[in-house]
Amino acid sequence: MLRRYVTFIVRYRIVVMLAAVAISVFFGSKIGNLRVVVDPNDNLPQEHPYVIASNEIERVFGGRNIVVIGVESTSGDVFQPKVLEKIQRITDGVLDIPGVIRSNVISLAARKAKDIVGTEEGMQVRQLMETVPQTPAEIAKLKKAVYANPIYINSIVSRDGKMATIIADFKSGKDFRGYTPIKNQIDAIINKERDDSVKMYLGGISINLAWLEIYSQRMAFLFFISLAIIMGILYLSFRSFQGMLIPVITALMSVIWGLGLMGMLNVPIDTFNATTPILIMAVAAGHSVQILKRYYEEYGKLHDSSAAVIDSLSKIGPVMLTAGSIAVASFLSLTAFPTLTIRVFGIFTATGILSAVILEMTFIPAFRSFIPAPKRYETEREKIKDWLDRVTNGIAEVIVNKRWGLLFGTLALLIAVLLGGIHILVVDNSLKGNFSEDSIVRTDDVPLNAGMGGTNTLYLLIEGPEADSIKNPAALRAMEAVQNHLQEKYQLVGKTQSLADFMKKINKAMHADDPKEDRLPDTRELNAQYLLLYSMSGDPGDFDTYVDYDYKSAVIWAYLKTDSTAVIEEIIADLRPFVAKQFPPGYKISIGGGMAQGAALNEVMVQGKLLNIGMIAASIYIISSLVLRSSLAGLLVLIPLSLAVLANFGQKHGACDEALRVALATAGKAVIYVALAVGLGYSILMFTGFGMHTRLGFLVAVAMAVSCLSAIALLPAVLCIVRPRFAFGNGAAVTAQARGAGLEARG
Amino acid sequence: MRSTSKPIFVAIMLIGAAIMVAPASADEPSARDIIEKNFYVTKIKHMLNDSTMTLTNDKGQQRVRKTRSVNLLQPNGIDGKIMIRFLQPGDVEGTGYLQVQHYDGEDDMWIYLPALKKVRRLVANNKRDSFVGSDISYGDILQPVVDTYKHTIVKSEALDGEDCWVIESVPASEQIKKDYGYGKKTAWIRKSNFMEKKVDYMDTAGRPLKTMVVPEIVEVDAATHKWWALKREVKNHQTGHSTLLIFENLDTKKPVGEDFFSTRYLEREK
Repeated sequence: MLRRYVTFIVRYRIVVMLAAVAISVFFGSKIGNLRVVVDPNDNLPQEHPYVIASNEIERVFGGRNIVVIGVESTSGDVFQPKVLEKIQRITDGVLDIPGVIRSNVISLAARKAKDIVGTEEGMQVRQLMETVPQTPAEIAKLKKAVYANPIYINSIVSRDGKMATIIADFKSGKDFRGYTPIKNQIDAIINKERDDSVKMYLGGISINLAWLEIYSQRMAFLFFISLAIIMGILYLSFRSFQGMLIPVITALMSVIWGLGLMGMLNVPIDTFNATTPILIMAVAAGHSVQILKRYYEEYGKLHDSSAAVIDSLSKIGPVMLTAGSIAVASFLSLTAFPTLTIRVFGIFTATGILSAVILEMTFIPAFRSFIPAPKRYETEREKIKDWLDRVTNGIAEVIVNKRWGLLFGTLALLIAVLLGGIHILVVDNSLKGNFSEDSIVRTDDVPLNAGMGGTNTLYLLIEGPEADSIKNPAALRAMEAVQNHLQEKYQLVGKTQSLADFMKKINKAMHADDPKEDRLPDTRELNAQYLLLYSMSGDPGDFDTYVDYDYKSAVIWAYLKTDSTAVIEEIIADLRPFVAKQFPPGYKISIGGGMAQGAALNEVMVQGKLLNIGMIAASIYIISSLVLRSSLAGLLVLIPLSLAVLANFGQKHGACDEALRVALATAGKAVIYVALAVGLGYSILMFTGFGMHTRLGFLVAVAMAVSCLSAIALLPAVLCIVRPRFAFGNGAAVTAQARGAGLEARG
Repeated sequence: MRSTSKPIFVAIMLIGAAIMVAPASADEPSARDIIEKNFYVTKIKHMLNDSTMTLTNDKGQQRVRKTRSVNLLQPNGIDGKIMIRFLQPGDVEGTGYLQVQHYDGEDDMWIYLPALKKVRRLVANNKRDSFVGSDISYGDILQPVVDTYKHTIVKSEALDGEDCWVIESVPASEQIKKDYGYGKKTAWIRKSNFMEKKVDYMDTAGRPLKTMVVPEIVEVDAATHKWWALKREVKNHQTGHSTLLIFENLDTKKPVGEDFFSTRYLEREK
């Protein structure tokens, strides 16, 4: 059946090749549709209360896609016309960026920044800086107004006046095209303002994620380095140009098909999946190597290229199809995971491998029979013993001589080292921590964090029992108490903000700025009336980031100068009982924010909630980055090879020693080639400078080494000790199937 | 054109012109005339009314405010005095707001908060600022005098079965543009009574800002041709926020004295 099929392919090779090329061109044209988009939520444990609270806060109050632009004066403070004009131009520029939430843009020059001031007769609410002040008197007036509104200190102007910020928030709806366009537009605005008088810094989650996208896009370059490494390994493997070329063609076409399909389905590529083409390439090349090696063996006997193609493929085809299907099915099963990243990874890898299998069964045999047959010395050289043979021989000798202590001791030591290593790697999970210390993300973060309240967020969501609950004086007083507690107890908390700050300020203004009246109103009616009063002077959106529309929920924003999860866990642990005592019954307080989400991730990891894999997406994060993306991938890559080892083994019934030597010399060698291709191909990621990719590269490389050792040392050793019936018995299914597939070992 | 004694020719020319450029026919008022009439058509001598303002944000959450107000037109025929008493929601009941308009200067505003038992003066706002959190600005409440904007007739068209002039108004100066916050207004003015039917507002950068529709109007004084909008809906296209303003119990007969418009009256809480 298969033989007839391969014969057919070889006969119509031109048509088959043209069709494959046409399909590749088609998919290639769809790659243009691919987008690199990162959504931090894809990797967060969505069920965790911190994450739920953060999502709710961001939905109601905004703050999901924050950009912080820091403008630091190099001489004196920012209160000089030249610097203030820059702040105004940047603010105006940011307001014009498509997708910006205009009512959430805040800076000295923003309309939202209001000066609430008491007069003898009443209250005045005015924009802090409608036009840039020019005279010393005007500047002094502005400065006085800014410092009279404590809510702005350390949020839009630093306490010492040296730095000011422009903070913007962006919509993430259906028109969202990723973070890089936002960063590019911000860069265009601020680059025009750069000169000796100021230093400028960019921060905020949107900027960090834009960098993440940029790092992910760099993957295209790394892909080609990876390709070069694989080509090098292939050349070492076959020592021929053709031997290098054919697997590479399979690999590249598989990647094109996979990427094209992703583009067609409009699935965005995220940070994790930016590395997936490298995996597909390595796997496809690995499959191709298997078949090619077999072809060379057959050609050595038959001396006819087409006949060798038909013979090799019809013998090894079933194993390749089986292994390929297992891999495709396994990767597709990942679509059951609740985390988007993993689903995309599953679909992407499955399509890539499926493409590789299809190509191996169509284009490659056609192409192989089309190009000139290998020269005689190529087939001869393939048989020459090299350093790899010495390695496999060495392992074989260890097993044959039953030196179990050495073998298992070495393996146990390796596993211990790896476990230790993984333990160290898991600890860090902040987004910023993924960037190296000399990256712009980190170097810009340092002055922003030091100058302002802090660049790490912690939110408290207060949900009252009914509409207007936030107007309850007890609730506002509790909010004030929580803010005071945070700021007085923790030096690392640089700033807190809530509606309570505004209510105090309005109360003071309505009492002619009497300092004694810098306090919260005593009745619900007065709170309500102040809010109505404010609406007569301010803008409708002024309080949108502090209280929801029907005054049922409010938020306290806290800014921290540290992103240490240990510190945040300590603060949260202390805050919980404190908060519980402050609010009247019926109020629900939840904790969220970037810091809390980091803590959530940590909590899930540290407490070993891995048991609940299906439920806790954070564990999927670990599994994805540590296990699935590496070990499982490694395992799947090596399945066909392990099968081959197993099949070779069973050939010589009972003759363990001989079977072992042969199995390792043939299939075992292929295992090493593939493991080297995938492992070294991935290891290039270690040099990206982005933590997540560095870890991934390292892990895949290690996983390939472990899988490879398992396949060529552990598996044969265990087989020799246990001597299971399926491998050694006569009617063993695997042996029979392997023999049917023509996988019997050759001397 | 040289004087001619060929009336038929003239008639043909006139008909032709009427067909080609209907709005430009001899009887057609100028854009300025139309806006001027529109400006004065709501200048009612005095009026009492109840109103319900429903504010809806982009997430569909609502705030409903019921008020009772008293209006008195000043002798200059332009400025008004307005006293607004809040009836609902309960926690702002009795809150009073008094505004004395000055078209050529800053308005005087006072507020009385019953929970504070004090009248406080509000320092004048920008014309573009929102009125009590609605999508209507102070500049929309007291419409600017005609020549604040330059007006042109774009075309005539029927809107929901009513014949309207479509008039574009652009600020006469950069300062006006900045003060009111509009780069352009496009108004559909009813030909039958000069009341606006719809107004599109562009922001200072030329982006669509908001649209006001005035679906229901009533003639409150047939003798002087004064009209009032019973319903105004304003939708802000940039924030997704909208305002629905409904007037009821209009009374233009009951005399309104100056005593309504004092801070002392504000303190009466009713």
